[in-house]
Amino acid sequence: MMQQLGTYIAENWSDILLALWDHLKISVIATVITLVIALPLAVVLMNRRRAGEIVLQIASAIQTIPSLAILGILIPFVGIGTVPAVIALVLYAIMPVFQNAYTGLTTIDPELTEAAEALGLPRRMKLFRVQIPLAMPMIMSGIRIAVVMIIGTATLAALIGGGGLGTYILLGIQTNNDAALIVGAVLSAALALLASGLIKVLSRVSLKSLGIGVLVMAVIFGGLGIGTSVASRVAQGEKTTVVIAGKMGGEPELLINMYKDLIEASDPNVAVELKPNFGGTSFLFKALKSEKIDIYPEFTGTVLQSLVTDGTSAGGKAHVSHNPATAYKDAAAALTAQFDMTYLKPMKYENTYAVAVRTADAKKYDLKTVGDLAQISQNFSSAFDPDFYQQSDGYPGLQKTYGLKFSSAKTMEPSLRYEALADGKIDATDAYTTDPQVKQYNLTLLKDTKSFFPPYQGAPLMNASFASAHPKVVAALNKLAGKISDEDMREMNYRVTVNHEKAATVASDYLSKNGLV
Amino acid sequence: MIQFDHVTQQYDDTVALKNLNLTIESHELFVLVGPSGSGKTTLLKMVNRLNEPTSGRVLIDGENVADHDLNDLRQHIGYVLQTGALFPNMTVEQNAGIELDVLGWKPERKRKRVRDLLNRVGLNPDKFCDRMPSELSGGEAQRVGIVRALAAEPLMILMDEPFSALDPVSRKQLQDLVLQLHEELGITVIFVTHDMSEAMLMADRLAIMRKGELQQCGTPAEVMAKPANEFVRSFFLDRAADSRYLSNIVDAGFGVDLRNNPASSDVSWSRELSASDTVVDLAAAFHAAPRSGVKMGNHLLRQSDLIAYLASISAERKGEEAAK
Repeated sequence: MMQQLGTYIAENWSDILLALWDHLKISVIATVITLVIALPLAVVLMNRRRAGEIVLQIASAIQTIPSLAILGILIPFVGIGTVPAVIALVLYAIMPVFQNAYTGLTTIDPELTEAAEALGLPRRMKLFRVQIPLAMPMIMSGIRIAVVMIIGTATLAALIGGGGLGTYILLGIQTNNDAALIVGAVLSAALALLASGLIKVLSRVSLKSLGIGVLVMAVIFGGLGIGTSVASRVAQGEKTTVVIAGKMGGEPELLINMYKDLIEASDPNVAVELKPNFGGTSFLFKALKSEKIDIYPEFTGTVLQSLVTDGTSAGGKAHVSHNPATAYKDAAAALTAQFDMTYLKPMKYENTYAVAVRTADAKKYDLKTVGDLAQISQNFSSAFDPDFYQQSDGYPGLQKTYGLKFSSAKTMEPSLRYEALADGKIDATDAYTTDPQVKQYNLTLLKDTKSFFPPYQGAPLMNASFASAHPKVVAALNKLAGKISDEDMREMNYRVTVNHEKAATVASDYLSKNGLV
Repeated sequence: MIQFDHVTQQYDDTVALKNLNLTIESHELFVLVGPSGSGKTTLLKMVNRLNEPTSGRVLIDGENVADHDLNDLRQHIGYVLQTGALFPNMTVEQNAGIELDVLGWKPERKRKRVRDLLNRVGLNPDKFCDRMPSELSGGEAQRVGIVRALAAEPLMILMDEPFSALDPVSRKQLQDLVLQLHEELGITVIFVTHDMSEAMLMADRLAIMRKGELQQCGTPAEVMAKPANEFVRSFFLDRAADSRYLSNIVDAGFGVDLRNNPASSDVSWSRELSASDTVVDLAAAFHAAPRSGVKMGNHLLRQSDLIAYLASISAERKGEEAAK
């Protein structure tokens, strides 16, 4: 494990540093905005107790909304990326900062307040020389709570394409990569501890030097931000930038790297910016609609089942044809009609459900199709992913269509079922056709000759306006149409998620081997 | 001169001050005394507008305080609170000089002023300037509080029960200090206390208050000689009831023995009283002729002896009560 972690860090350290920097940036921006809102609010409201109590109630109420819900609410208004992440973080952090500052300022010994008044101190002086210094321990503890919370919660930014250390946590969960998970979790925890310690030290520093320090930090961060954005703009020069995003995991990352290589090879004036592990289906689709991204790879089955409707006013689910060519045609037509999007030709491979058996058994019993398995299924035990086991388009339908009669059929944790099959604990299970474990455990996938499973073919999705404006990009991407077999994809997935090779390397290997670039 | 002109203070249903008229002369050490709830602190805080009267006016040298710029008014009136109320985030020097910061004094001048005043109140500046309030005793903190009030050379100082939280020894020292400073600086002092003996000891003149109403106003001797009503009499004289004969004063060691003191042979006295006369007779004598002495047997008694005696028996009584 330690060795695996070491290799992972060694191979990805520059990306990890970048994510750490992103994380820090999001956290600092959120903290600064929080302070700018919450502290003056507390100062203004300290002499208006009723309004202060109301604000406290509102801040507490916001605190109780789950963070995912806040992110979901924000997307239609501010889109995806760092902005909604920062807004959500600020909404959460206002409460501890405001509450502590307000309480600190309103619980100062009344004798001291009276003394300050009787001395005829002007308002500003009373505030900065007496009230704020006396409330400082409370204010600082509020800020400490907020910063630790911000750094922890900022991991959620990854869900909506905001980047940061959360990317590694999500990646780790999605691809079962413990090294990535540990890198993300440990670094964000360490960052939180470090920040908390730093604030503890800062709370002993005088108000004046603290103000100067914050100002310097703001200038540094602001300067860096402007600097990098200017630098990147200068570096890109005249080039057109195309932004391509991918869903979570190794396979989308492979695909978008291929897109990048193909596009850049065909048109040197185009620079492609990749956003791997950008989020889930609905995030990506919304990002494309709002033109935050230009292209992302999507599956035909997903388009028909979750993105488009059947075209009637009732907006029911689209019919899913079990013929891959028809499914693609339906999906492309619906996307054009309903969203004015262009769906390019799909690749060959299908990432769909399949029935897997051990290769030894397949040879022994001469099993090639699910129909072959049905003949002898009474001798086989089976276990399935719980969802697959229950859905009518999963095991129950499959059983009916092929007349399967397993000696036993149980549910099993999805991550365990391949290993259980390889170890002989079960004899058949459901699988995804491009899962690298098929290769890793030497399994055989049986052909779905009756086309029971809906087709899941991948193809680049973009807005129609983008497609017509960039014919060269379209031509470059169309080179992948009909390419990449299930076997190829499994092989590449194996190299990326099991061997931890870089997606970019594996992608360019494939393209050059097949003469596509 | 400070005039309270038909001053009333009302909070919801309760009347804290009822149509009160009172004049305090410049350079006077004036004491407002009365039990808690008498309205003495409410009255004091009207001078620097920590309280605004519901009706009536407060005039300083004929000018209504309500017409003054608030901060300017307060910057020229020193204020000493019960506990010193030093700001815990500042050193002694910063606390003492904060008013001078407001007034824009240059650092060197400010420093000199603060050090000078610290010396005057008996605190060594080299030792105390950099201390934090948490490192001071109650008496030391109150001395710094007095320095803070005096720093900006105010026209007057308001003191709100300044010594009530101190131990008897510190209290005595600070009472003497305030009397001495008043003497030296000639500044107007308005001093609030609930302790009659402290009032007697400190006051040039005093006003006795009860439930928002003025009971009597005058010098200690006047009040003692002619209490205006039963409340003043009991508040003032019951403490001395058991030991009110002049022989008790002499026995307690007050007064000058004319036999042992040849230098005092030329001292004049206006009246002669006997050992069985009471303190009230003595007070009446001083009321008639405040500056001259009274002869009792072989002893010469002055007004200060009477006041010191009454203060001492009152302190004794407090000790007894505390012991019980």
